[in-house]
Amino acid sequence: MTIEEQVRERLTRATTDVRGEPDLESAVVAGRRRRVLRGAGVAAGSLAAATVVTAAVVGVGVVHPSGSTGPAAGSVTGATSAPDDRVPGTTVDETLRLVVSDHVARPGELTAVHPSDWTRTTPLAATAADRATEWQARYRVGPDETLTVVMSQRPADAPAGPAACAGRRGPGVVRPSDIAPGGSVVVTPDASASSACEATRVADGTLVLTREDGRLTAALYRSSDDTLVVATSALAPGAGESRRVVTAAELEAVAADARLSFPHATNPPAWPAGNGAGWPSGT
Amino acid sequence: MTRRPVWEGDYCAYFEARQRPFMRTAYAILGSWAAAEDVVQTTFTGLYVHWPRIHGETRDAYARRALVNACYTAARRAAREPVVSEVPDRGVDVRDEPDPELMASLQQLSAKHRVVIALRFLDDLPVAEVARVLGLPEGTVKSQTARALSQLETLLTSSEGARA
Repeated sequence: MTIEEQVRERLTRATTDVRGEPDLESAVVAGRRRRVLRGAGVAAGSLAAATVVTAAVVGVGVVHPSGSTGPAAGSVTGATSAPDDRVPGTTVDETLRLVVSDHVARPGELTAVHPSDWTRTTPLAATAADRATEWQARYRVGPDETLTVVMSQRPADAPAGPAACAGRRGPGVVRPSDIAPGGSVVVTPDASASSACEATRVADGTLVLTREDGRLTAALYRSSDDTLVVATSALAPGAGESRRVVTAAELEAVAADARLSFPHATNPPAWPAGNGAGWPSGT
Repeated sequence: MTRRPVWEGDYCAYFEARQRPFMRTAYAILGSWAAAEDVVQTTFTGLYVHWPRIHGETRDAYARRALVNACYTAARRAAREPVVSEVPDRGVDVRDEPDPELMASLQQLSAKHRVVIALRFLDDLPVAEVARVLGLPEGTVKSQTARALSQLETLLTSSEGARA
């Protein structure tokens, strides 16, 4: 027997009787804690900003809605810029990225993250981020796929709720008009068309998953903090479904993450009539 | 934050599949079940933190590399432990080892030699995979393995001679 064979056999025998084992629950709990601590820069900035905002809501002019759950998605002045801070002075961009990295296994490369509002299709300047009514982050997942996450506050003067399923209806399908601004949904069964849209009532909103023309979209309007989050994976024209990397479950997890609670602008611009009924728009 | 990420089930399945093999590898490197348990726990905690960014095809190499690094850290820490004049009142529960000569001989090798021995002959990884895990050229892995085996053979022979 060669020395290699001897060592292989003796090592196997000597280590077969495993004594004590690492504990899954401890690993998961400690891992979750470390993930949170790892985002400490973001969290510290958010907490500091939240404290400042709470103390100076009127003066600064930014209000975080009451009843929102989870850490504030960030806001405004006083926030410390992380080393790769794309939009200085706010932590919303970091929170968007953190949520995506927590739920999407392979989001690819971040190509843009910026504030905007519903009167424009272009980014707002970082200095005007506290007037934003919409934020979005875009990723190039691969050569054939992009991921876009948009969060928006509710336009109080928009004529209807968020666009959910455009045109197609099937069993359990909802139309935009089925979703009330308060988040309640009326589902009208209709077996005449293919099911391109699924609606799931969750704790304080309705999670809507749509598939249309290479776009897979999860949208949640959360009534408790008047925030709409839309996460979309879009395939390039001609690319088959097999090319899609981001899954429906990942998109839904992003849309449902309570950390994406929109830091509402107190005096948002009027909802342009040209935007139509559904929101968000102009992104 | 107690929210359960969507990928956590995947992580848990990996934990279940790999915890015992990793324990064995760490034990072979560190020579202590308690230390092995600690480094494997540390490794899995670290894996949880980075899980969404670890691609499936590189997962094992990444995890093994994290395990090896944790073993190096534990070995360094053990080497720095102060020597005391008196033993503790009550020792730890040291049960019979199936092959005390082998484990004692392994502990006389350097940490990097124990690592290549464990990866090559316990985990049964090919040279190319060991090179990938350790970030070394394949030639270096081959030479380190040969040197480690030679030293181990000498140590085992002398311990068997002493016992006889």
